[in-house]
Amino acid sequence: MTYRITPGNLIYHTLIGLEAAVVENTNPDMVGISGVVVDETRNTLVVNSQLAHLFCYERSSERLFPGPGRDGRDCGGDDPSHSLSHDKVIPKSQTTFIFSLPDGIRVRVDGRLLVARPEDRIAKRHRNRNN
Amino acid sequence: MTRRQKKKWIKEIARQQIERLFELAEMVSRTRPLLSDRYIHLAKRIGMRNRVRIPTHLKRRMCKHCGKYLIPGRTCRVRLNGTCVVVTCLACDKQTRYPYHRRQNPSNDRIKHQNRTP
Repeated sequence: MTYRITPGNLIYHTLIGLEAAVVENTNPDMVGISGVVVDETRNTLVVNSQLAHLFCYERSSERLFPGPGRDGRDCGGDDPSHSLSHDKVIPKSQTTFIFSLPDGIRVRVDGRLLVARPEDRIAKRHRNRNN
Repeated sequence: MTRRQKKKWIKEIARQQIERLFELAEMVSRTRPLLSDRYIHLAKRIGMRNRVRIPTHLKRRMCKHCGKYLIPGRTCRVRLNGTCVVVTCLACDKQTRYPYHRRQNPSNDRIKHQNRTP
């Protein structure tokens, strides 16, 4: 099982589980929001600042899939910080994001490139990429 | 890139996404079970849209009826009855059966069947 998110295919790949930060937005209050992408819709990304420890990349990439997800369970627990109140909904279209990939590369992406339903984004065409 | 190559590339990305989403679902299943159901749903949609099969071992971790992420012992019950693996989703109480005893000689069986129905 190899999945590789590179700066080249980032805009086609699953954004969920990546760390993201808002660098520019038409709403100044949203600039500076950062955290893990938790969910995605056509026009928005949901970012949670408290759940980062749940998505532990390094170990997850080594794990073979059908085995029980032990490490996922280890970092779980009944921590109250998992409440929905830390979810921030960010519109894609007016935002510039910086995503940090599992291997440490940071990619700056214009949110307009991401506007599409997650399942449609793969086949979408782009004239100029902004990576 | 030729058209065929491009298509292959898209399918490869889709396959990676499906695997990734199932892995993410596993990671959040304890703390945010609803979120893992959402990831499963996304994986299914990506599979349908790009015509990529969800691998069997992953397919069996989602409820065919309600789309719940199934964790044996937590969100589903797994029992054997001699012919099938019966998976009961504890969310919707519906059962999915996966037969495991193949017939000894299926070709023989078909002949019998044809004879019976003229």
